[in-house]
Amino acid sequence: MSASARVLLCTAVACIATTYSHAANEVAEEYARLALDSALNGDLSDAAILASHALRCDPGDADVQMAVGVLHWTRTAQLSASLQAAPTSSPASKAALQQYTHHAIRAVTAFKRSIAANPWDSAAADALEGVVRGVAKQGAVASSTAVHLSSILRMADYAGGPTRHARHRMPYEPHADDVRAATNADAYLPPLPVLQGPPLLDAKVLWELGYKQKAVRLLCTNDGVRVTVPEHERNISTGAMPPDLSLDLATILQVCGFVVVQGAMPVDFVRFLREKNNVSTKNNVALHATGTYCVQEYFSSFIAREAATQANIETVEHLYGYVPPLSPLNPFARPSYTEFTRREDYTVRSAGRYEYRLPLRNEFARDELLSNPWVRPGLARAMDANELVVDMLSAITSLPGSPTQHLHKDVGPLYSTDGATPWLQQNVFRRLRSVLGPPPGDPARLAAHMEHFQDAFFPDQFVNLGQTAPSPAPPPPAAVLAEQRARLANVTTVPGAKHAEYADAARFPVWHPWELTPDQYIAAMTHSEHGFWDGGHTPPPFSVAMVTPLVNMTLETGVSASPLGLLPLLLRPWPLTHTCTP
Amino acid sequence: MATHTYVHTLTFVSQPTTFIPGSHAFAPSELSTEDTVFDAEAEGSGDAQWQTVNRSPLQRRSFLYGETQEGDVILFDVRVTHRGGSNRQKGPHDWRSILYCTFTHDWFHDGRNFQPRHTSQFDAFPPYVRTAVTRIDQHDYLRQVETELANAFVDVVGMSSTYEFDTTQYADVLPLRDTAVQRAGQLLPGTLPRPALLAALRELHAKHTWHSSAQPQEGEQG
Repeated sequence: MSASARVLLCTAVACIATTYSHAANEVAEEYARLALDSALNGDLSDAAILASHALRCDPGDADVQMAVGVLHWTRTAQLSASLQAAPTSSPASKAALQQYTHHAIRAVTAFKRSIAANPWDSAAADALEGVVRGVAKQGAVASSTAVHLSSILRMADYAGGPTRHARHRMPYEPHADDVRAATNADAYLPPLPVLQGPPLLDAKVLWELGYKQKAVRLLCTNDGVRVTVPEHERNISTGAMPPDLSLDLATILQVCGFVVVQGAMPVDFVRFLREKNNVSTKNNVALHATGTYCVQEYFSSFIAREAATQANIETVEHLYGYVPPLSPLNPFARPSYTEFTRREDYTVRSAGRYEYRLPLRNEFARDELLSNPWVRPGLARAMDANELVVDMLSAITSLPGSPTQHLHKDVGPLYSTDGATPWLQQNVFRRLRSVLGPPPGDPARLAAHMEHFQDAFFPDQFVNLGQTAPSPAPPPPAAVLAEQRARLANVTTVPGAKHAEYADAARFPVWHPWELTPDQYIAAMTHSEHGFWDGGHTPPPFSVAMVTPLVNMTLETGVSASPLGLLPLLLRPWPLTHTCTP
Repeated sequence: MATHTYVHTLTFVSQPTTFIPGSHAFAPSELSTEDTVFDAEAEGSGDAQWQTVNRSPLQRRSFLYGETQEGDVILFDVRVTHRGGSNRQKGPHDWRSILYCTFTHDWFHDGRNFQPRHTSQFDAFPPYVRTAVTRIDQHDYLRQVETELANAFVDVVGMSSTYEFDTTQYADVLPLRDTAVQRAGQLLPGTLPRPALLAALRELHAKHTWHSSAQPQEGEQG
């Protein structure tokens, strides 16, 4: 019996025997992983068996649908080759086309279901786009198939972007894939340095130079994202974080986006919290009844805070003397995005997972939480701020049986209305240390969009300030400094400034508190103690500008590459990296 | 930035929180374009240290499990893509909790996760007006609640801070007694019975003299 067959047998038993949703979900995901591996390795028969079992366990799981989709997608790729090899009028070709259509429809359906189950995971959207492109290509090759394939395209209803839900939750501009092809970031990054370790230092160098993806690859491993508090420093009142360690922590946060600080919270305090939480919750739950359902019901009523819900439970108890037995957690319950309706103090985070605000009293107003010497200094360094504000203090409780949460980000974009300043969102938490400019004659074509907050600069937007000639518009989607300029002038943006053309912002007449000569431009705007200034009645911080000579920064739109290739880069020194440390 | 404080030990088996490293700065699809791995043994230029690998877009998805022991804290950028793990335990009381605390710059406002309270008159506004008056209506709500409490003889002034905190200087501004007394007068125009107002002022005075050496001016003793 092969390894996969053994896994199949065991997991099938587990799937059938389980009465708890989480187990079915986990088994389904295990199936899906195996099916995905098989499909990617070209073993479609195994993949089909595994995928069918995954579907039986949890058809609503995003990973399961992803595996099913990949299975059919792979089959369409195989059929596509045979379709191109055979004459379009042959019976074999017609049969292959029928199969192709069959698998393409199922692939599209599965990917759409996967996206619906987890709108945040772009892999399904990527895959769906791959199918659509394949179908479109197939239609172009054989016009006789266009009728069949156009229906698939209509079914896919895919506009090259994320799903409707994701758009609603995080309204961003075109999908990264749409702009990736236009990116020429590598063309003007400095040469890759020779890395000699340690990884953390190497990653920092790569990040600062602009090789951010490589920095992520290098540093963000299971060990690389961890910092350990020494035993002798774990006293809250006397412990302190050494500056070099806070710098390490800030670097990991900057590159990887998260860091595990081991031993940052005193164990006694943690156990105290846990015990208090358990006693409190058990007492409250006991007011209703016992059992999984009642725990869930308690949390639901606790969160809903609706008198009707509470009254209903009490009425039932009063009339019948017991709470009628109901099913445990719904095994296929998916978080509806309407459930994320913002409530005042409580909300649902996924099936069986509740978040509620904590009062700033007693055990929750302690130094361990609010001014922890192992948390606060590291965050202050990472965010480049002396003063931090606690925006949220809450507890998230997952009930037994709650399935894996959907992928998500905890906040949306800073400015819900703009796709104009994505780079700002990347730098808003840190001072901008360096600016990379594109080579002459080769405009920067960075894949800047709301989802990934790239740094992008279009200095041309500043060249024509105060002049009559309009500035050339950057190829959308793109970021532009003009928007920052208008904000920094403490003036609201002009109408249309947030549109893709940016021309209005560039023509903004009186715009800046600094006097610039025609050969200067502002290259960076996010230098300030508290990040970007977003209005208010007091003046913006003034130590934010970097005035840079215009030399070598003339851009010409519409020029895709220098006719001399890389020669201009080789013939002159590299003046385009401007360090600007306040 | 957010902090997760784990009050339970979460290993790979018990499904800790999962993160996609780098997703705070890149789209997952963009991260997947990086098809190189670092080879420390390679010699030569910087490029030679990076070997190209051939992986499908799906294989490039890289998750990291934030395995923790009790007392560990995970600091993460709120923009990083992540998800909570499943709770595989089966006992009715086997819930699993984490403490969630976000630290931000002072200008940042999370308008997404929780909804502020509004007055009932807020609902009567048309939608575009509701957008415009969101912030000032919150203030109105607070003022209405305070007034109602004062009418019910609750010592609202005593419940509130006697400091005025300057959020631009991050400092307490003293003395504040005058401000607080003025506020009490504004809060309760003709609604608070005279004895209650006097009691509130006396209590305020007692609190104030604790942290300020400034002597009260004549006429403010009531």
